[in-house]
Amino acid sequence: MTTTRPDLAVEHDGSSSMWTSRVRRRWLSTLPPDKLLPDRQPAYVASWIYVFGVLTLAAFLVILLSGLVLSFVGPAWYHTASVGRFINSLHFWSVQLFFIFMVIHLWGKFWMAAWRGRRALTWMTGVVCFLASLGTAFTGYLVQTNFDSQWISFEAKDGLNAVGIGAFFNVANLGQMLLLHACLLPLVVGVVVVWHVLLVRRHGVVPPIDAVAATDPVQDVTETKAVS
Amino acid sequence: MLLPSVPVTRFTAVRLASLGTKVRAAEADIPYAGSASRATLVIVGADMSSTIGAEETFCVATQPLADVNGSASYLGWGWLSISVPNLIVILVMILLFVLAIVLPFPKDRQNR
Repeated sequence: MTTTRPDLAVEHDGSSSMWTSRVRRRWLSTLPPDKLLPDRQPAYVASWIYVFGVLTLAAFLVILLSGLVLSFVGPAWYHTASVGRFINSLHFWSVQLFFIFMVIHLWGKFWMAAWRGRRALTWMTGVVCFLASLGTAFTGYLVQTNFDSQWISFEAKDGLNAVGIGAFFNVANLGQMLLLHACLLPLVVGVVVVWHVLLVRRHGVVPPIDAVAATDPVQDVTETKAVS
Repeated sequence: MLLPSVPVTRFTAVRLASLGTKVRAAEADIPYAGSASRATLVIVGADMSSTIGAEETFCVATQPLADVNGSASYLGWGWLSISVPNLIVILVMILLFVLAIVLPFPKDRQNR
């Protein structure tokens, strides 16, 4: 059934003052669908150095999925059963690949000065993501529930106590480390990663330095050098 | 993981052990089975009843690329100290970074 009520018509044309309408208008003006899910990228993106960001994301997904399995079944399984040891190793090695890809991504973005063109927040969310990932990996080493984790925790506690944070970040407290590793820190990394990707979508992939020199430094060169 | 059986003389097994190869047999009463060092080649004996020098059939396990369960070796230059595994990872990352810049990216079919 169609309606001709004027108030509904106002809502549909986007001029409603409801908070949902305002959020929608703000979202669509900030990140329209063609920017959120683009099907074309600038020509300079056709380089292997631009692949490492999405490789990091792929490794992150494997970490999340394998970690989910480990958390449901527990250490008695992943230390003894062959499948459990495989998933445990998958979790470990995907973390290694995650950091390898992320650091190469970082090197690439650093040398192309990826904070140019109002992308400082994109760069800083990457920095926060890197630091949060370090904390997540560190707590992960502490919750292996083996002699390696005991060694790491008792080596680390002296340093952390020396800087005065041992009282509320106790690396010898397995329960605290497990909750930080499986709940808080992955949530922080996940949220910051999504924010980082949305910022990349909004501002576009940073162009090479020489490409910017030929164009407006603020304006994306997406339109001018798009792959056709 | 076992490779297909290969003929190995008892002398060869003893020599491997003396060279530092870990030799382990399926049966416990093999005189030359033992762990001479932390090397990783494992030889599993099948028929231990023959005389010394006779050719026998063994299953030879694959040799792992690295002993990831053992202690890492360290390299040091003055104040700088780094483990070999960490050095290898860093070198691989630098290699990947250089290759990512140098290697051409495959073109999209639509744009060829």
